[in-house]
Amino acid sequence: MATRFASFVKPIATWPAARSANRAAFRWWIDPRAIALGLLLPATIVVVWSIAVRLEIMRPQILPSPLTVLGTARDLFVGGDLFAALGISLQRVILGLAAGSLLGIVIGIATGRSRAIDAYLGPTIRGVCQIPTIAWLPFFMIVFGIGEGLKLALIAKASFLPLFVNTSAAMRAAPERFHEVADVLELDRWQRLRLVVLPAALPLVASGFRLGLSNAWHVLIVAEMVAAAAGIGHLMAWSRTLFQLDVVFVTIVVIGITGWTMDAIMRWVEGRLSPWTANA
Amino acid sequence: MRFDARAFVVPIVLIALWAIASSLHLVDPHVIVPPATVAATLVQMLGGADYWTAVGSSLARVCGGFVLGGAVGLVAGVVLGISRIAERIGAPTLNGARSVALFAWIPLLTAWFGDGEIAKVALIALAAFFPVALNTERGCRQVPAALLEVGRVLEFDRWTTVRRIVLPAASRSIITGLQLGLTTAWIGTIGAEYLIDQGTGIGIALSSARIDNRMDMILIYMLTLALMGLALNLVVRRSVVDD
Repeated sequence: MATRFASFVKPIATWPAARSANRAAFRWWIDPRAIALGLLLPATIVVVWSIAVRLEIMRPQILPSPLTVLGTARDLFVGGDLFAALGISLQRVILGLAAGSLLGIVIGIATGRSRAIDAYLGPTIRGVCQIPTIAWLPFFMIVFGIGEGLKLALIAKASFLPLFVNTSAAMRAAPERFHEVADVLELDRWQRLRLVVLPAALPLVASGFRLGLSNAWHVLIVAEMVAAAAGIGHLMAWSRTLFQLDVVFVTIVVIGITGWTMDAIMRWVEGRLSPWTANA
Repeated sequence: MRFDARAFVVPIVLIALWAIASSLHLVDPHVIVPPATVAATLVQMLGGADYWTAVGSSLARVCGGFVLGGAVGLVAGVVLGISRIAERIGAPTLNGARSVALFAWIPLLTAWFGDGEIAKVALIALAAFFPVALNTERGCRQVPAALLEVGRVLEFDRWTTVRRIVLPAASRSIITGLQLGLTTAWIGTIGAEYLIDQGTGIGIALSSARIDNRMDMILIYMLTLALMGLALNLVVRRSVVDD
């Protein structure tokens, strides 16, 4: 079998351990003592930060005071600049993810169902995917220029791999004995798809999707920092050029919160698609 | 692992199409560079010093950043993993910081540390830190209670417990973290070099090749990155087999 490259790129499923850790993290929101302890470190950082600003350990240009950052955050939120930039970025992510995941799922199904297609296409795709997404940036910049095509191609590339790998594996995820049970029960083709193939496949596809979204978000920030005239990454890089570090701080937090929220939504979807593992 | 010739059909067809399209002048030679030109550039680059300097710089950087970030991550992971109170204080902040896309730290790092080596290595260290810290913490937390009881019976002090019981029991998880950390450190290296293009390195070479519109050089550096990533994977896998 042509699995020489295949073994480097493994399907990624969320471990049951990670799920219970998530539940443990959730409990913290209810326990006031845990909230207080959790806020201790951020509070300490803000205090040290304020003192550093007061003592002018770093130039105020590169270390604005916490109050300045808070004021800037308010201005950006109220003024709408932040949401405009974030909206553009999210739109790019959604379009690129749609393209990349569609391609990944279609080719994943093809290679997963047919050993022959996998033998022809699999090694090439897996070989090409050894090139990190960021390294495609200069290539795509020459091919597509620095317009929307560049972001779309880059995000599609970033989200393609996890969906392709996971979908391909998902097609073979149902254990052989499940199919034997289906034979014994004389399930028809549709019932078999609904009761055997899909339940085994969906959780893997869902975690591929979650990973694809995370990859897409990371690489979009880079693309927007290097080659964009709008979007949250551009806002950050541009503010850095102007030495408006207060805006940089705000954008870092917004990028973090956005990434976290998208991941939380995907975790929820993943849980809905595979309730039996979530309850395991 | 059997040799399967079917794997080579698609690449050969693609290269043939590429050669034919180039020789018939169907495509812009600046965008789709003829294969012969790429081969000539490759020979020239492999013979020159710049290419090897870039490869060496990137390797040195990924090692430096990985060792730094991995060491800090290991210590942080053990502390968070064995102490409930440390976990409650540190984990929320750590998880928050982890949610930020890695390269979003670059504007802040360059503002603080300048465009030199420090900002780049700091970013690579950050890239390696999170997976190492996270997996170490998980491993230390899941040490079987029976083993810890043995330590109590033998009246180990805290340090001895960590060294003789916790670390060996968590080693599998720690190794997973180190492997993941090396992979993310490698991605971090390329990104840091590309975004902070000062000095030498493959990412920096890619960036200047893009500015000079040298698609042939871009392709060669991309191939280099793929091969180095593959080599890194092999090193990582070898370390598992030895384990």
